[in-house]
Amino acid sequence: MMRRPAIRTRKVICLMLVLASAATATGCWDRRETNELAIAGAVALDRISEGKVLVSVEIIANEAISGGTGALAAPTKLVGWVIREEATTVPNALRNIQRRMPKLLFLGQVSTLVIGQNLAREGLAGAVDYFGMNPEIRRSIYITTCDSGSGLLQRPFIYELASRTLLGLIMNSATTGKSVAVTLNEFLVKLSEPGIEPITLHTASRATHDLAIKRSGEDVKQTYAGQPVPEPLESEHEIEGERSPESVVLDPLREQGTAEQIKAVTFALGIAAYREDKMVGFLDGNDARGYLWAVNRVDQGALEVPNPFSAAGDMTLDIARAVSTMDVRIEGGKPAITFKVNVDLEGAFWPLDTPLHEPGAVQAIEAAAKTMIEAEMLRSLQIVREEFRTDIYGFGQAIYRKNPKLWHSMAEDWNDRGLQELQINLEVRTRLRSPGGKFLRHRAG
Amino acid sequence: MLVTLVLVEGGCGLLSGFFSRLFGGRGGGDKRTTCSEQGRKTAGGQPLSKKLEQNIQMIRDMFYESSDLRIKEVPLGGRKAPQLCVIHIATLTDHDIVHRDVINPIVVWARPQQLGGLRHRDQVEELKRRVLTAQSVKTVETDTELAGHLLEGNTVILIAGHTSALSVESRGWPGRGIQEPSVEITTRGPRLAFTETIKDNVALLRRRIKDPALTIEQLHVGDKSKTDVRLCYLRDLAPKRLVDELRRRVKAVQTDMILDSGQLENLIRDHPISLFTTMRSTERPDSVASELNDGRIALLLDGTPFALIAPSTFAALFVSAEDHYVGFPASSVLRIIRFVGFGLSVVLTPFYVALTTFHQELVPLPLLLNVAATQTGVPFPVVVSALIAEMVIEVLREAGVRLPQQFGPAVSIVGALVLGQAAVQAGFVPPGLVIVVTTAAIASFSVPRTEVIISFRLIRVALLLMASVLGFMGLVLGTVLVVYHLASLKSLGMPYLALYTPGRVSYLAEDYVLAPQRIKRPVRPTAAANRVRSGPPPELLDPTSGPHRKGTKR
Repeated sequence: MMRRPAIRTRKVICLMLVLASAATATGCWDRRETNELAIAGAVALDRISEGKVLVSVEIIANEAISGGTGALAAPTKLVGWVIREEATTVPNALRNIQRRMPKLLFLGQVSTLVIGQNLAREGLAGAVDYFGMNPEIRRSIYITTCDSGSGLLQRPFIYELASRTLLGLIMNSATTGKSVAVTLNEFLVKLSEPGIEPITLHTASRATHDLAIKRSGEDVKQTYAGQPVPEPLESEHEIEGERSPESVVLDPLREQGTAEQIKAVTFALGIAAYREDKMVGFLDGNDARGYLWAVNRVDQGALEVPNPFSAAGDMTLDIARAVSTMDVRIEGGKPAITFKVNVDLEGAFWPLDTPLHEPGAVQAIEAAAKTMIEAEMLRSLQIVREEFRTDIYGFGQAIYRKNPKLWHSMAEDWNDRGLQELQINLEVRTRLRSPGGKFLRHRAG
Repeated sequence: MLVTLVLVEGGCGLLSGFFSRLFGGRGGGDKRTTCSEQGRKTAGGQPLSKKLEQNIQMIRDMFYESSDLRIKEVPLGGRKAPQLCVIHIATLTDHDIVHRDVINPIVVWARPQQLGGLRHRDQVEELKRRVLTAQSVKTVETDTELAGHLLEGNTVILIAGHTSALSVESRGWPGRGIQEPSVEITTRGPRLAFTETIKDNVALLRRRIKDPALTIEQLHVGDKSKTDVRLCYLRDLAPKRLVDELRRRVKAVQTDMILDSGQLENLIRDHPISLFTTMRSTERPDSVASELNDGRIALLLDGTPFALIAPSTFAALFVSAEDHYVGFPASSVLRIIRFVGFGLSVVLTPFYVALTTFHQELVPLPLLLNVAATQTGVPFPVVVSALIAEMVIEVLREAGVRLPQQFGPAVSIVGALVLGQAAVQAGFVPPGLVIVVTTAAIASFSVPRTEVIISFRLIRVALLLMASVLGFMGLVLGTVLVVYHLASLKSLGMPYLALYTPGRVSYLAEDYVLAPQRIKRPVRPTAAANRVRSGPPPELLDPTSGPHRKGTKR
């Protein structure tokens, strides 16, 4: 047998040294036992006093979601705490929070970053940038603005935790076609790129007629954080009609429990538009969809269309598919934008007398839908351009990609000049894929 | 930390190559060869005497008057003094053969009228050729040789005036009948396993390969045990260099006792310190036949129901005998499942520990909260809990293996149910960890080769320690080291990672996805020649659809 050359031995020793040095590079001080973590579910930022940021962190109690039966898991209803600190900067506030936490504050599981409207309107670049850089926080978390950032974390609905409620709300609200889930990453990317301004989902608490059903014998006010549920904010957007009485006892539930009115819950209202890092306003309902049509982010939703046959009532169409593109043309040294929107629709609701069987009926409905979509788009364009004066559509970016030189000449005061002068055309094509109305057709025939 | 690392790696033998190189371990091989060549002269010893009494006395002295040594003296012709003597060891011989084929004919033949016309010299020839009806008669020249024959169960005949003795094969001793495999259990396929009797084992093999190319060489190992070793291979398929090398290694073994094939394996395998065995051991004759048909070489040992097969690769760890017996979709899926099981058994616990001590952000929130909740009452860090749980499972398993069959279920019930439940409730081990550790333990049994399961466990513990220090980085580093080690292994010159390393998709496909023979003919990638194993399968004709045409399509 031949002895291996010494160089092999040296190589192995080198490998050992590399491994040993790796062991010192990271290691023991980075390890933390799971039970020693204070797991945060959501973080909210808001501004109450001048020059300071109010940071609310929702800490989830270990047994909150799973209902695990650990060895010493106490039979408690406690699901979490909202811990608040005010400081000049976000990291300072987080430090202050840590100062009174017996466990290590762990932000790795934060799913949502909530920005209070006050702070958002004054600019949040520094605050959000901190979360973008924090190695624990994923950039795929959702960012949302709220009419009151600190208040939002206190109104859990369906889930017992506000963070879960918010997450569910954000992820599912996109099915309405009137709001959109925005990640921290998207926000930061748009914030840093010229020619496009960031957006977030905008949420707000609104009064409702909802009822929460509770088992009798349990104090509703004790179910969250062991503390009294704070009184709901008085909302300026009252739902029309009379408010329900304070507490309603439903007959079928008389034995098992009571139904208590939830005075206000969080709504995914629409889209908050930013100019640089400052929120300038938000698009609500159909206005939000007008924007989303343009940026190709409508997947589902219900389109209410005025009845082209009679004034009897609106009809509702389901959005089956919507695809849009933004084309840039340069004409005579001036950019012109064309939105091409293709929408497939399905029938969802008709007034009974709709003459679907008549020739041209489908075309009439399609035309009505087209008008509706164009109206929505134009209206939100108008709001964004004239009221908000910000380019959340990314026109500037599109122009830059088409003609960088042209963009550089316009970039200086784009939002105030170039954007205002921009020529925008709409090409909306609608198609009624399945008109529905089977029964109606039989009757009509 | 460096100490831990070295302990970890040293413990799992990952750097065995490094240590052996460092301390010149490879140099020992040459010395061993030269030593054993001297020791292998079994044919040595004193020549026999012409005097019968002297020879008999010599044998009596040699065996110290053992009670089972039988010496029958037979007078020849009309003489008074014994001229011939039949010696055997009663406990090793078949009495039927000794009496019917040796003693009886000699006594009949020894009457004076039979011997009248023969010269003394011719008497021996006559005896050898015509009198002894037993099958095999050999001539023995020296005393050690004679003792060897006696100890193998032969009957020795000493004749006055001759310096050579006759040895008649008359082996026969109590043995176990051929039974079902106890370790390599399959749902389909033959239910025969090797026994401790080499004659039976060779017979089992011969019955499966009816080809004169099947060569069975006889070798002996062990100065005291003189264990009968049979080197079996197919002459036309097994590469000659490999056969020569394996034969050389077996011959070079210098030891006093070989009681099991495992002992021999430890002496002749390529990497004695490695956790991975580079020889396969199997108790199934059909497995051996299949391996021989791939051009590999088998060693059968007397006294062992396990045959050794070399060369053997890492990929072969996941092969079960029945893979070729059941349909290809099932066996392909099963092989992949076994590989996944191997992966789980090695990586799952370290992964869990890394996840819950370093990378909490990767755990889905509900699970993380659950983990945190259940971890709350446990006084130890996750690593320690994991080590305790691993330890307990090892103890349970080991106890289960050693226990008499009657106690087995009782212990597993106490161990699994009572102990597990109580440990969780008492807060020694978090329940999530129990799930992980037991899953890993069970997954390790999905590998059909029981002898490597313990190796996998050791690797798992090493990875566990690394993962507890470095998180995923430690896990990845450890895995890299394992792969590095695997890549450095060879089995009889064949890379241990063969089938993976050259990146030949066809080999991998053969190994993992057993394509049906109708699509792809099986190959024998390791064989010297004749790589395609079979011709096209029989054509399928539908007997219900009219007269058959010869060679219908293509």
